[in-house]
Amino acid sequence: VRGPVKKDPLRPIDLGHVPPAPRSRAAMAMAVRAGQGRFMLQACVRCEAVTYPPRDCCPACWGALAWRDQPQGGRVVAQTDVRVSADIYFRGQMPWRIWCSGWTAQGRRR
Amino acid sequence: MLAGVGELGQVNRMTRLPASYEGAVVAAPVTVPYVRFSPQTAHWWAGRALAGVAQATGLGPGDIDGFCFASFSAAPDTAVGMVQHLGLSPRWLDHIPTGGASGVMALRRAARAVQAGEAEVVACVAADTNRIDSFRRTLEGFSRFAQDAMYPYGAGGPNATFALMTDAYMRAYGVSRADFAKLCVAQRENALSNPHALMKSPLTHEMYMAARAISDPVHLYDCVMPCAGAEAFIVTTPERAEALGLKAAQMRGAIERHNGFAADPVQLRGGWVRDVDTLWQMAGMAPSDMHMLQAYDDYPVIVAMQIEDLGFCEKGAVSRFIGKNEFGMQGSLPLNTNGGQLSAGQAGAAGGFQNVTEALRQILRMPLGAQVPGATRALVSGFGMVNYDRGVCSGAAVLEAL
Repeated sequence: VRGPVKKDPLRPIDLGHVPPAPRSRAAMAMAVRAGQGRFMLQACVRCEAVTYPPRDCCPACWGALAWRDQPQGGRVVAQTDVRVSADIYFRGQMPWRIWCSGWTAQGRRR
Repeated sequence: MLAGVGELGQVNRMTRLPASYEGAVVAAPVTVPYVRFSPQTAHWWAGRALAGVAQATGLGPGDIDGFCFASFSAAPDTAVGMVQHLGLSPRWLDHIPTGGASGVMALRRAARAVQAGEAEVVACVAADTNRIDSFRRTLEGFSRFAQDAMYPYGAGGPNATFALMTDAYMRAYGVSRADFAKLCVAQRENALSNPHALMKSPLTHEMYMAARAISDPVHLYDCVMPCAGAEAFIVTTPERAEALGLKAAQMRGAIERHNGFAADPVQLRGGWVRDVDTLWQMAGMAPSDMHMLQAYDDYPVIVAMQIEDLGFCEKGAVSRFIGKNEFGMQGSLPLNTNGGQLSAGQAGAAGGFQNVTEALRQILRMPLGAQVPGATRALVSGFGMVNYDRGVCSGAAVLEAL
């Protein structure tokens, strides 16, 4: 009779941890559009400034924001491989490559 | 990652020089020894800090008529809840949620309150606890932008954010890991005489270079260790300080700026750049007049950035500056003489106060460990709050012993 298989206590196991959920309504709106295959960012209806992360007010003139399709291209200005995560959900997924990029948005760049 | 206010926000209009801080002095630096993890609350740590103030000054709760507080872990309380918890009855109250910039900001606000006669003794306190998982919780709920646009991308925390900044900075200005190593090794050497520093063993150049990557190009010894601790000082009138028999220092100049260069695609400079001329004009001094630099040091890239942006060298020349200077207690520019957060630990918002208390102890000749010989003047610099992709808050203050 064989007992239960011994488990390496240091090995992360998938316990069905859920990804971090709290998100603003504006970020959810962007994610929904991304899920439809569209890269959309908010642009100001008054001054056309394009903004990211999603906001509730134009940071250039305090005008209202509307979702606009954006070109897919961009230029990576910095990158890293995240090898250590604070969140247990990501522990088994390291490394995560992340980068920040500039892009040529429609309208004025912000 | 392009976002922020318009170009107008980046133009410095001609403004008159701020009034001097004469009539307000800083005294009684208190550091409650840090621990890696604590079962206590931020309230307990704040209480220990005030007990330290009482021991240094002889003042009790009824003598303190101004209170300024900074913390990440006091929820659900702010400064208001803390006042009732700690038995204070101030006629001037300020809550400063700006982490690494909170010490300089507390100094500036408290000094103006004392000058204006709205308080006579302001106790400035930063206190944070650190429990299992409390650091992650702080990251998870840090800010709306972090929650939306940073934490969901691997939850690397500040290590990841500063890795992006470090990556861009190293390539833009030809700074190497060996340059950062020199800063970190010097700070560790400084920490070895500080009995409160969490890091107790020497750090060699080889150890630094061989450390494992945390988030490239950030490696292990580029990262601060989160811990629990508290820091405090008082701001009062020169007359009251003298009556209490306290050694005191004068703020000669101070600046702060928030969201300084919002249109920069990645942070290669801090808000200091916009205000540094004001700082030195107000102080009537130059960087070469400083006997030490207590720079904010959550990562060495920020120390390097402050050396440039506060005028110790030209932008882009920091690699040469680091090569030519020594940063130990006897060096040409003593840097973070208690070891800084990199070697003493980062006790949350107290990390934004420890540069102030250490500068005070050095220029008032009451060091925890080694003394910078002949020091009477210090530059203290604050930097804080990675709301999303960069530190939003910056500040600096020139302190001189009376």
